[in-house]
Amino acid sequence: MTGGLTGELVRLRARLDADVPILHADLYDDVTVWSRATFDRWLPISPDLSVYRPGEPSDKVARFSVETLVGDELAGIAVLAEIDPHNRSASLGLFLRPSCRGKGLGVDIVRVLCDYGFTVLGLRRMYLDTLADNHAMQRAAERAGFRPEGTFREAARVMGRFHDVVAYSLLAGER
Amino acid sequence: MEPLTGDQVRLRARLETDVPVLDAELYDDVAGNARRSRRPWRPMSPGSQASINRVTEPTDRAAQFSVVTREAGALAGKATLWDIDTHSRSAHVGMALRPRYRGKGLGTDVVRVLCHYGFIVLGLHRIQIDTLTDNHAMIGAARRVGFQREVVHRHAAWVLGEFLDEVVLGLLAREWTP
Repeated sequence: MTGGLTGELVRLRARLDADVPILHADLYDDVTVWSRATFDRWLPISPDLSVYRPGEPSDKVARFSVETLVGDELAGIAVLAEIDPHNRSASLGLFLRPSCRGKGLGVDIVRVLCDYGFTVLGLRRMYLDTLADNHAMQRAAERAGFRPEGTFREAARVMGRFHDVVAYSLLAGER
Repeated sequence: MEPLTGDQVRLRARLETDVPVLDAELYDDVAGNARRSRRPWRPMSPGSQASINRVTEPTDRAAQFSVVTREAGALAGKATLWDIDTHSRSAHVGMALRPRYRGKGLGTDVVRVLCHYGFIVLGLHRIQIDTLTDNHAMIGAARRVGFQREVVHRHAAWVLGEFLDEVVLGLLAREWTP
């Protein structure tokens, strides 16, 4: 990592107002994929009140937009959440626009988020939870060095069904 | 089972008179608190509104109980169903007993009553217990009620100078037998 939060394919930067309508249309308004990504209940929300609006910086969560290095195209979002300075840990997540999936951006984003968490914030443990059948997310985590920790049985309700959730983690020094 | 009553204990709402006892015997045990809490211990004066044991308004996110002995009604500790998620229909168990009430099997009874509250009263699908991997009393209580070991979070908790592993045990409504 030199200079900014840049990997081999992407850079992470703050959210801009211009990102919001694109992210809202491509990520939020796909009910199934959004529900699978967040395990949360989808509600109709106007783009003016989008969950992807820029917010003030916070000690608990760092929200990024992801941009491709080639073409400077908005590729999606990345987030470090549950930042815990006492236990020195944080969870990470990412969500790519449909046109940017299947290109290996995920592992690059995970690596840059880990750079931010371990190096900039001084954390010792990064973790992520994903659906047991989200193979793209698990492959990205494993390629970035994450290790599986186990399975929360039927912990997520997604589109009317309970799904298993798998846990992964990476400790500082394991990279 | 009488609602919220087990073989040895009963769960009831927190009373103001419980707070100083729980603060003195649970919160002010710095080492014990470090093992139970994910937050750092801080010095706290009596009557502080920052007390985690204070009486609070009911919420949809957490159900906070005091544990009392079934016969005498004596305060034995506290029990919480926290992070209640009405979408995923899940919640987490928290529990702490006053020192003199430990080692008597009350913990298993408390977990059982909390499960009755979660599965029967709230209609949850899943309840989980998060604890340090060396907390054998809590793990034993969970296993006796039928919880299964699911996840080990490596180095998840900073406890008195070192990072310790945490274990997650889960129980589904259909697996639970009162």
